[in-house]
Amino acid sequence: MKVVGKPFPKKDAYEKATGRAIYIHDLKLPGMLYGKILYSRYPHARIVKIDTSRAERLPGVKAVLTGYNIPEIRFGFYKDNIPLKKDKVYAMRDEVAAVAATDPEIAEEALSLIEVEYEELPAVFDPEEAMKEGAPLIHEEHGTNVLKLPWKLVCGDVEEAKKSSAHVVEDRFRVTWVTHCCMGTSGCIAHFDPQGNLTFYSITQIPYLAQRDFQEALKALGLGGKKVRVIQTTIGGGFGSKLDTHAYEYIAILLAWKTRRPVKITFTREEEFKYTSPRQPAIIHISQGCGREGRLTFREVHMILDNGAHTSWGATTPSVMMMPISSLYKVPNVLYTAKCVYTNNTYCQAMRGYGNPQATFAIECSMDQLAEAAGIDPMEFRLINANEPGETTPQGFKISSCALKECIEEVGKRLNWKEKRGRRDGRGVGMASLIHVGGGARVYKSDGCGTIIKVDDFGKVDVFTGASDIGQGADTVIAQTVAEELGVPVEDVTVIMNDTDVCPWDVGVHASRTTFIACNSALGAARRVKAEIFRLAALVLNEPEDALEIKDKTVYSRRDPEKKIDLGKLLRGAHYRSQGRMIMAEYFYDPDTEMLGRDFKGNFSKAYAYGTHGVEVEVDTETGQVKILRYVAAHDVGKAINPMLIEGQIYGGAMMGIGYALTEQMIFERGEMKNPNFLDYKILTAKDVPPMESVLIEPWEQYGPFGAKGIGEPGCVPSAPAIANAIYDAIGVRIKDLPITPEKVLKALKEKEKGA
Amino acid sequence: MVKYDYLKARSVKEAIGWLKEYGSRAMLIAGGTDVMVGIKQGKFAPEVLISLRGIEELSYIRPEDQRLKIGALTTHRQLERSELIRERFGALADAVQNLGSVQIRNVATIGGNICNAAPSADTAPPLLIHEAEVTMEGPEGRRSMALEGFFLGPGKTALGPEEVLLEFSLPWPPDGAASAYWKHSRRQAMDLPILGVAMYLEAELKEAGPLGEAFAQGAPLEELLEALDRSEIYCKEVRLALGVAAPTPMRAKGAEAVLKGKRLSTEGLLEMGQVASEEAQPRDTVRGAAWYRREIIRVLPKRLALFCLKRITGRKG
Amino acid sequence: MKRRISFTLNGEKVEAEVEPHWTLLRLLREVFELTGAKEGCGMGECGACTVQLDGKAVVSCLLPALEVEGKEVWTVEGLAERSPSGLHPIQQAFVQQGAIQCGFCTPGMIMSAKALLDENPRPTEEEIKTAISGNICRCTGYVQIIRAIKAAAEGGDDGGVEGSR
Repeated sequence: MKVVGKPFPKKDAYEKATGRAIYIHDLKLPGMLYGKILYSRYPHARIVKIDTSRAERLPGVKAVLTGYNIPEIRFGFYKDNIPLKKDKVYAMRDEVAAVAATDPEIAEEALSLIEVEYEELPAVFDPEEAMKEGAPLIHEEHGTNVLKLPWKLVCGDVEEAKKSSAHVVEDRFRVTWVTHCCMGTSGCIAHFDPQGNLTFYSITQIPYLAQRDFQEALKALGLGGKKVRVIQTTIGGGFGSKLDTHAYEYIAILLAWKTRRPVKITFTREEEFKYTSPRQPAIIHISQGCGREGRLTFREVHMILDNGAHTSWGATTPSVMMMPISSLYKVPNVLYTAKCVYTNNTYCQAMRGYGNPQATFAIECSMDQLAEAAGIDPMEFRLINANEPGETTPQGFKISSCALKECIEEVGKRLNWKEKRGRRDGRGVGMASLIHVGGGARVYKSDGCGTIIKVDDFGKVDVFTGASDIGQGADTVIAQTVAEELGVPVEDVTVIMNDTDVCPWDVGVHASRTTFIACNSALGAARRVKAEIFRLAALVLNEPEDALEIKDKTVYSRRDPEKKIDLGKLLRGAHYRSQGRMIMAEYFYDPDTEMLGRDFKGNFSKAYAYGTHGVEVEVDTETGQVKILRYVAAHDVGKAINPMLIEGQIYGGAMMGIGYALTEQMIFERGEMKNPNFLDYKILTAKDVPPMESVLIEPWEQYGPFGAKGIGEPGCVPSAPAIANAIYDAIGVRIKDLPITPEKVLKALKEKEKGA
Repeated sequence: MVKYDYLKARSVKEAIGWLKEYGSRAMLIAGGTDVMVGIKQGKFAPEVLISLRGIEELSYIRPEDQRLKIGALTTHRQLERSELIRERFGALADAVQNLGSVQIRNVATIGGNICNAAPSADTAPPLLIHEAEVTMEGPEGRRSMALEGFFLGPGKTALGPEEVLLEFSLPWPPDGAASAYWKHSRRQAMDLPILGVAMYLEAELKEAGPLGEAFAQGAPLEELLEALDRSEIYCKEVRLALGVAAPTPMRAKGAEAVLKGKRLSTEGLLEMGQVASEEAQPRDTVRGAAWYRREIIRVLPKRLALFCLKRITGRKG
Repeated sequence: MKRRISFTLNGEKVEAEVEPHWTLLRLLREVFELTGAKEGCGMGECGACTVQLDGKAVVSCLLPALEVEGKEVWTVEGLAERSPSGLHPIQQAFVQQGAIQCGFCTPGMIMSAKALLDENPRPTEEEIKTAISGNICRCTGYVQIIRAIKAAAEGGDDGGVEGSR
């Protein structure tokens, strides 16, 4: 292959390297106003009165909105949230009022002039407390704090399997809130044209779904039937934070409609930490069993999820957690339930892995515990139970390509597993694997992506795709795909994305689907374009279509290479004539997968990605500090269309995973975030990077574009359990709640000493 | 957003004059990495900022009269680069090389770090163990005092409202002395210490062979301590200072008394750590728990003593 | 009351009227429309606003604008404009080595790298990590950024920027 498999630089890297890329923060429109939001002062309170009169009188203020002067717009998966709260606030992060003013300083001053009187209500901050009789109700109209959600997966018969297991382990794990920390904070600009059509400049990861959500909102404004155009600027990081539509976006739209001027809202870093939705925490009970020779017999998992005050995607993470629970390793009998419980805490949404890192932490730590109970080496234990190509898992996933065994072996080899394992001398090794969707995911009714390709008179190719680039390199792999198929240089392919007016539909940048789905879509369109080119060239060269090839922008006949024509010339000839024509094609790729049924079974992805991470750690037993001596990440990627960009996803994911394991946590006190800055929220720096190596295993996925599968999320899934398992190997102590801080390690060591 | 006027002083006298004129409406600013952050966080709301940045005469590192004199406006980056400081005032070198980030160290000053008087100020424990003196100037003229009495509480110093800090002056240590600082943090950079400990040690090496060999072999901690116990090294003078262990950076004098004049041993160093952890008054904060801070204080003197000894023996070649 | 300052920006002498409470970051982004330097946190903790001031890397969000009087400031835009090939070797290396994903941290990262290489043309890996330890990146995990800076260092000396050491 000419260009697939090569490390082409990211297409927009030049603009970014020269400071020319325009992010939402850099965008200005004529007449633009600046919006700012006032948040709640209490975690749970009645709103007695809001007086905005002083704010309204401040010169430069053009609009002040509260829950009392806007139409009702319900949003969020459970439809339990409105952009500005009325009657009650449910969490510290609840939006209470908003202003639009001619400059950000005036907007901020206006906020301080808004007087809100609250009557505090009893609050609850722990989901287990919130489930008890007599706990304060968050949404009284529901009569309970437990959400009506159907999260239950039953495969086989766990009770029977327990009875026939030779070894059983059971434990409880806990993961807490961490957040995306996109370097570019949230923001948008909403702008209505004189006829009431909305243009929304956004950093969303779901332009078309957002378009639909905003269309619904426009109905409430009496603008049903008007058009919504979503234009994405360069996006300063996603990681799932932009997979929902958020209160601030609706607020910007409302302010823009009220003032009939463009309104920009951007978040400061403190606002980003305090008022955006983080990763879903979970309390996880897990038990697993195996037979005498180490084959898994059952896995039973029950979770309690702190849903927070309103509902976003966090409440749906169980639907993804089912994936590793049912299909990471071969386990015939599975039982899983999850309860989502309202509290007055912050509420969560999608974050890289979407529940997978949380579930895999419990599963892979438990696997090590089970291996120990069975007296089997943990690496051996994993190999015994590893998934294989061609199998169908209990949840109904049809595994096509699968290189899990190779990943485990590669990691074991590079870590010198046999020599380093089991010394308990302060140094240890550990590993953990992952499964994730690698061929899209039918979480919505559609998993499709559309592409339109046009070739111009000079042989240059424009590709219009519904996919979005959030930094992961979608622009580049799509260009490489089309360039490969059409035999043109990658530089000659321009990928146009990020505008719903121009580009065809795509469901969104989630589930690590973009390479698989968008490249398959681009490939489909490119093949059609190629067929058109050959149809034309056959006439001009007087050769049969099936004898033709394109290479280096030249169409030629395999039978007689002297019969050739430059692509640009061919196209110019086609359209500079009477009854001329253009070369264009479209293709919508939507794989033949199914949505999960009511029983949550079904093959919802066309392919599955696997991987294993292995770690060598050294624990300072006097201070509890954990140092990573070596980190190996082996990933089954099908085929690396661009190995350099794939590695970027793996290293980035691994560092995020290491942070999840060791240092990151949002610290809350009575629902208020106490560390809303980079000093106290411990995201890792360049000096914290351990010696890391990434291994790409390419078993070639038959359904993937050029054999490729997804990689966006897998990189951060197994890091925490791999590290926890390595720590156990090093000092015989297992920390079951993240992050594994030095304090927890030291405390556990001292308890172990006392016990001894 | 706080709007303030910004005046650039060309001399200390000019700054003092402005301080007198504006009184409590004004604040001094040097590198700005504390003051600007404090303003943005709503901690400070000055009407006037008086910048000392342009006063180049206050930026120097020079040995003079058996002492090391450091101008208050010397940046951490300048300190980081000083061979002199690395050689003789190791703890201070340790403190500045990991403070904030390169960008911060390029503008932040040692005077600013001390006057901001956070209990976590990295330069404070090293300066305390080196028995630094500070000199300041006000409308009434100059005065000096021991740094130890300079810290009055979190964010509070003995600097008068119309005074400008001029200089730190540290006695030149003898050849057999070295110092080291340990910043206990969660990340390798951009971090405040959970706990900071500095030790100054003047040692008499009666028989340092075993330890010297262990250092040469790159032995791990336990072996180094065994080697120490087999060597014969006396502590002529020891000073220990703690950061984030009390409302202000503090000297742990009770702990110092445990070892002063005695032969160095693992047991002795552990006892020193134990006494220091009891002398300290750490709190539970978002950044760390008191019990953990005490634990770190307990185990660190052993390591710090070894760092100091490595520097001392290394110097002898 | 605005005050007039004059300084050298990307190799050119410029003048501007600034409010006393403005930071250099605001001056660059709003008056000179050089939006490369970003506000990632406003507290000097993330490095996204890093520029070169008299050759040293500084966080412009904490630098009072009035302090640049008479000094020399370089931003990422200047590196490109003043390089004969349109891209400074550091920028070229970042592009080639996959050091750029979402790109938000990139301008600050490049300026920290520039400040390092100007002073230390052959840094060790530790020195590189230290130089960028004040620049947070969430996308890349830093590995390819470190590779890019190494490549730029080994790539040597040419393509230097006119007027900037």
